[in-house]
Amino acid sequence: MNYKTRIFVWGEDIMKKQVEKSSALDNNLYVLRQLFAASKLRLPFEILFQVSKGVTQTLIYTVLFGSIINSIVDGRDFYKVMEYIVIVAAFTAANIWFQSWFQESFLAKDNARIQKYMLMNVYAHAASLDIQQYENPEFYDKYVRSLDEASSRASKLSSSIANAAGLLVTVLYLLSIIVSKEPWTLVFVLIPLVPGWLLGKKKNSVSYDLYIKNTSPNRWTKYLNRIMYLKEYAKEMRLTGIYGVLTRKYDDTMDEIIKNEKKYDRKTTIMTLWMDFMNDKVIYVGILLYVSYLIVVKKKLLIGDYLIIQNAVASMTWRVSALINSGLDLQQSGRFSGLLREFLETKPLVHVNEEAIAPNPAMESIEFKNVSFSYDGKKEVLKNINLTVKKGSRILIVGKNGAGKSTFVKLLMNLYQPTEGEILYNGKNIQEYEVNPYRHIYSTVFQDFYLYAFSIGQNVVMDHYEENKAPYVEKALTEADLMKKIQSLEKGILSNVTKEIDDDGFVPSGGEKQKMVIARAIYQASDVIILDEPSSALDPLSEARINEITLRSSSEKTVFMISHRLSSAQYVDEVLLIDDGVIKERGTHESLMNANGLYAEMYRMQQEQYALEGEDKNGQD
Amino acid sequence: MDKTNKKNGKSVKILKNSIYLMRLIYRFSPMLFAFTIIAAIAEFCFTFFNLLFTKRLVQEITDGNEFAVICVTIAVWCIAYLLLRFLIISIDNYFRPVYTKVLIKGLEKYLYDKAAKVDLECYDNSEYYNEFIWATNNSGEMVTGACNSLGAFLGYVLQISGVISMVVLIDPSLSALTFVSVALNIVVASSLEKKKVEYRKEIVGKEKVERYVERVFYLQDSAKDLRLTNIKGVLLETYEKAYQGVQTILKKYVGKIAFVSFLSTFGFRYALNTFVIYGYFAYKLIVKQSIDLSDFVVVNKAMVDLYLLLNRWSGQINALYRNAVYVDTMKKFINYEPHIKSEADAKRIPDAEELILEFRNVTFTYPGNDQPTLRNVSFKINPRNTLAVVGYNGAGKTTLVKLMMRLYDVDQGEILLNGRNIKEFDLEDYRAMFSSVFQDFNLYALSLAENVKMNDNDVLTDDEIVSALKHADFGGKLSTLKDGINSQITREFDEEGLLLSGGEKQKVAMARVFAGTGKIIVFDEPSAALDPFAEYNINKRIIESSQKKSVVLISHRLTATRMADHIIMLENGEVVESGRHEELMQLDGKYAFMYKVQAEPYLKKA
Repeated sequence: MNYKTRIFVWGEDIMKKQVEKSSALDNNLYVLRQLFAASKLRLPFEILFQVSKGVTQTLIYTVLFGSIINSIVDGRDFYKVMEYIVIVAAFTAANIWFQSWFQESFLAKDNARIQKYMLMNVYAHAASLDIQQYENPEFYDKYVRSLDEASSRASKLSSSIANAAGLLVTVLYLLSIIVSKEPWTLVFVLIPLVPGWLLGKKKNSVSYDLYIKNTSPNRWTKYLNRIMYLKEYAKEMRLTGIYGVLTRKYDDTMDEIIKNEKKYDRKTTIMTLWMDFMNDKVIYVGILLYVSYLIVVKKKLLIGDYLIIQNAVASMTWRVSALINSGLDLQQSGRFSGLLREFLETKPLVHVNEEAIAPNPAMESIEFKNVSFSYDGKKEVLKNINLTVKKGSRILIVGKNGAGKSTFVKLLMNLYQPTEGEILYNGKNIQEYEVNPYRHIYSTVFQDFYLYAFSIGQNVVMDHYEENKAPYVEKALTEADLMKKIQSLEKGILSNVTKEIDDDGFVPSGGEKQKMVIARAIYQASDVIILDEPSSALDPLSEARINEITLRSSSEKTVFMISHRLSSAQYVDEVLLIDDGVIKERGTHESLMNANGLYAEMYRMQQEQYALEGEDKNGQD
Repeated sequence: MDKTNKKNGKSVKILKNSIYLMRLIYRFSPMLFAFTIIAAIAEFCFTFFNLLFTKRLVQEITDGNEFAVICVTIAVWCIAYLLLRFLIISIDNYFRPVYTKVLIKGLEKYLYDKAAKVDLECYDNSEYYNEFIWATNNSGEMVTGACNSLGAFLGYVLQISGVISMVVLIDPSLSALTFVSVALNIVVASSLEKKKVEYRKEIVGKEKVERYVERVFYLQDSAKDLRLTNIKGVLLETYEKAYQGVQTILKKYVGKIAFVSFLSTFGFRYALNTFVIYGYFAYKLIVKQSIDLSDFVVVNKAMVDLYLLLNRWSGQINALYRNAVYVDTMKKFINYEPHIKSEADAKRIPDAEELILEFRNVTFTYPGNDQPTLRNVSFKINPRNTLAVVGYNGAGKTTLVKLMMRLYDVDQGEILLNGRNIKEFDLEDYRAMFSSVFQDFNLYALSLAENVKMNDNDVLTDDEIVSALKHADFGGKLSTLKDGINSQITREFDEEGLLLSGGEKQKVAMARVFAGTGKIIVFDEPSAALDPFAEYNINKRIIESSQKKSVVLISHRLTATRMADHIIMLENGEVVESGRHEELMQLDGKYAFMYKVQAEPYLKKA
C-alpha cells in the first residue's frame, strides 16, 4: 500500500459536483427513501388525510348543499332529503375521526420518530468525517445547515407531497362536478391559468431576489443581536467604545434592509394585485355572469346548479393556485433536501481500510518518516519531519505561536493525514490500523477542551459511567488536585457540570475545568499521554503539580507535551523545537543549552526574569 | 374561586400587555400601528360585503329579475371588491413588511441601549440572565409576530361580530344555536389547549436534553472528543433515553387529545353548524315553505365563515397569551433601573495627571453567594505606579479589578479617586479613565483597526494603530497582511477574513491597551497564551507603559509581577501579604513560596 502521496478531496468539491448532477427530484427522492426507512406509514396516511379533508368538504358544501336547494325547487320529499343528510353526516363522522387521530396522535409521535432517525443518521455521519473537514469554515457552515434540515426536512417533504396529492384529487373531483353541470364554465377557469402561473413564478423569483439581497445584512443583524446580549461581551460593552461602533453598524445594516424591502415589496405588491385580479375577478365574475345568463335568460339551469357551480369554482380557484404553489414548494424542498444529501454523501478523507487491524495498546515505538503536512496544498505547515520515539520517552515540544506544534500532535493521532511521508506505530503505518481503536490508545489534554453537561464522573470517564468506576475516577480527581472541591459538592462526583441541563449543576472556574480535563487523561491510564498546553490557566502550584504527575512520576509512560513553560524541559528526555514547520533543534535540555541556539535563547529569556539580582548573568555566557 | 381569579389574572395580563405592546408599536412605528387597524377594518368590510352581495344576487335570480339588473349588481360588487382588495394587498405586501422593519430597528436599538446599561451582576445570575437578557435577543421576531397576531385578532373579532349579526338579522331563532356553538367552541378549544400545555410542560425537560445533544454535535470544540473517546456513545444513549421519555408522555396524552378534537370538530363544525342547520332549512323550505332561498344560502356561507374565523381566532388567543408572557419579560427588562449609574450632580474626572486610586477596607459579596469574594481589602495606587495582584486560582483577583472599574459597587468600605468616592464621578467618564485587557477578551467581526480602536471616533490615526500593534509584538504578522489594518477579522462575513491563533488574538487585545487613551492600564493575565518570545516582549512593554501611566497587573507569571512598585497577594479574598518583591521574598511567606515553586526549575540550572 502506498501512502506517500495523497490526493486531497475537499468536501466542497464533491458537493459542487453533486449540485450539478442532482435535480430537485433526485434530492427529494433521496430524502423520501429516508422517510420510508424511518416510518413506512407516514406518507400513505398523510396523503389519505389530505384527500379526506378535501373530499369531505366538497361533498358537504358543494354537493349536499346544492342538491338540498335543487330538491326544494324540484319539490322533493323532506324525508328523502333528511336521509341524504344523515348519510353524508355518517360519512363525515368517519372521516373526521380519522383526521383527528392522524393530526393529534399519529403525527405527534411520528414526527419525533422521524426526527430521531434523521438526526442519528447525521450524527453518525458527522462523527465519521475528519476533523480537518470540520475546521474548514465552508464545510462547517454546510454541516450546521444540514443539521438544521435534518430535524424537520423529511416531515416537511411528506407534508408537501401529501398536500399536493390532496389538492390534485380534490381539484379533479370538483372538475368532474363542474363538467357534469355545465362544461363551458371550465373555459373561465382555464383562461387565467397560464398568466396566473407565470405571474406566480415571477413573484417567487422577486421574493427570492429580496431574500438573497437581504441575506448578508440579515446575518449582520443576527451577529450584532448575539453580541449585544451575550454575557461574554458585556464587560467590553461597558468599558470600551465598541458599543458605538456596533450600533452604527446596526443602523447602516437596518437602513439597507429597509431600502431593499421597499424596492422589492413594491414589485411584489403589483404582481399580487394582478394575480388576484386574474384568479378571482376574471374567473369569478365571468362565471357569475355566464351562469346568471343561463338561468335568467336561457332558463337552462336550476338555482341549485348555479350554487353548486359557484361553490365548486370558488373552492377550485384557490386550490389550483395552491397546487401551483405546492409545485414550487416541492422544488424548494428539493434544494433543502439537496443540502442534507450533500452532507450525508460527503466522504471522509480517511479512506476506510477494509483490511485494517486492531492496534496493540502497549506502545513500543512511534516513528515519523519524512512527514509533511499542508492544509491547502500550498503552504506547508510541517515539513519533512523525522522522529523516532521509544517506549517511556518524554518529549517536550516547544516553539513560537503558530509554529505547527498542535498540527504535529493531530497528525500523530490520525486526526489529520500527512500530505507526504508516513507515521509508524509499533512499526506499522498508522493508516493500517482501525481508526477508532487507534485513536483510543492516547490520553489527551487539549488546549481547547470541552466539558459536557453530564456528571463529573462521566466527564472524567468519557464513556458510559458505571458505579464500579467511581474509585478510579476519585483517584484521578485526587491526583489532579480537584477531589477536595468535589467532595464539598452535595452530590460529589455525580454532580452535573454546568447549568445547561441541570439547574443545580456545578459551574467550575477556569482552573477547575482544566484540572477536570487533566483527571480525564489520568483516568484513561494509556501508555501514551499527550498534553497540549495544559497549564495556561493554572496558578503556579497547580502547574508544578501537573508537571509532577505527568513528567516526573510516570516512568513507564510515553509523554508528548506542548508547552511554553520551558521549566518543564529538565524533566523530559528530549526537547523538540519546531520553528516554521521544521524541527530546528532537538536533544536534551543540557545539549540544547550548550548548542546555544534558539532554544537556549528562549530558555534564558524566561530564566533571566526569575534569576535573583546578583546571581544572574553568571555561568550562562 | 382561586381558579376564576387565575383566569381573570390571565386575561388581565393579556389585555395589559397587549396595550403595552401597542404603545411600543405606536412609539417606534406609528405607520405600522395605523395600517394594522386599517387592515382589520378592511377585512371586516370584505367579509360583510361578500355576504350581503351573495344574498342580493340569489334574491335577484330567484325573483326572476332582468339580466341587465343582475349585471349592474355584479358590477357594483366588483368595484367595491377591487377597492378593498387593493387596500388589503398593498398593506400585506408593502406597508406591513416595510414598517415592521422600521419598528424592529427602533425597538432593538432601544433595547440595546438598555442592555448596555444593565448592571453586570444581572449577567452573573444565570436564571435572570436567561430569562430577561438573553430572552430579549430575538425581540425583533417576537414583536413582529406579536404585532401581526394583534392585528389578526382585532380583524377576527370584527369579522365574527359581522357574521353573527348577519345570521341574527336573517333568522333570530338561529341566534341561540350560533351563540351556543360559539361558546362551546371556545370552552372546548381552551380545554384542549390546556391539555396541550400540560403535556408540553412534561416534555420540555426531555426536549432540553435532546437539544443539548444536538448542540454538542454542532460544536467544533467537541469534535475531537467524538473521535478520540467514546463520549459519542454516551451522547446517543442520552438522546435515546430522552426520546423514549417523550414517546411515553405522548402516548399518555395524544389519544385523549385526538378524541376531544374529534368531538369538537365533528360536533360543532359539522353536526351543529352544518347538518342541523341543513335539516332546519330543509324543513322550513319544504314543509313550511316559510323562508327565502337566499337566506339559506347566506346562512350556509356565514356558518362556514364563522367556523373558520372562530378557529383562527382561538389560535390567536393562544398567540396573544404567548406574546403576553414575552412582553412581560421585555417590560421587566425595559423597566429595570441600573444601580450603578451617574448621580445627577456627577463630577468630571479631574484633568490633573496625578491620579491616586485607593481601596479602603473594601468587602464584596457576589449577589447570591454566602461568602464574600473580597474581605477588607485596602491598598493605594500612586501616580505612574505599578500594582501587581497575585494569588491562586479563585482568590478574587479579577473581582478586585472589576470593582475598581465600577462594573460592580462595593458592599462595605469605599474606593477613592484623589480622595473622593468614585460613585461621585460621572460613570462613563470614570470608566473611560481605564484601558484594560481581560482574560476573556473578544475580537469582533470588524476590521483589525476597529478591533484595536474599539471606538467610533477618529481620535487615533492609522499610524498610531499600526504602532500600537507593533508595540504588542503583532508587527510581524501585520506585515504579511495584504489589507494591513483594514483586514477583516474572522470569516463570519468575509471569506478572506483573518483567522488568528490564540496568541495572535491576545496580541491584538494588548494593542487595544497600548492604543488606548486611558490614564490607568489594567492587564488581567496578559500572557497566558503567549510563547516565551512574545511573553518577554509584552512584559517589557508593560514595564515601559508604567513609566507614563499607572498599571494594574494580574498574572500567574511571577516574573511579570516582580518589578511592580507594589505587590498584593490575595488568598480567599484577603490581602495576606503586600509590599515590594524584595520585601516579600525576605518575609519568606506565601508569596516567596509561590515564587520559588515557579523559579526553582530555572534557578537550579543557573
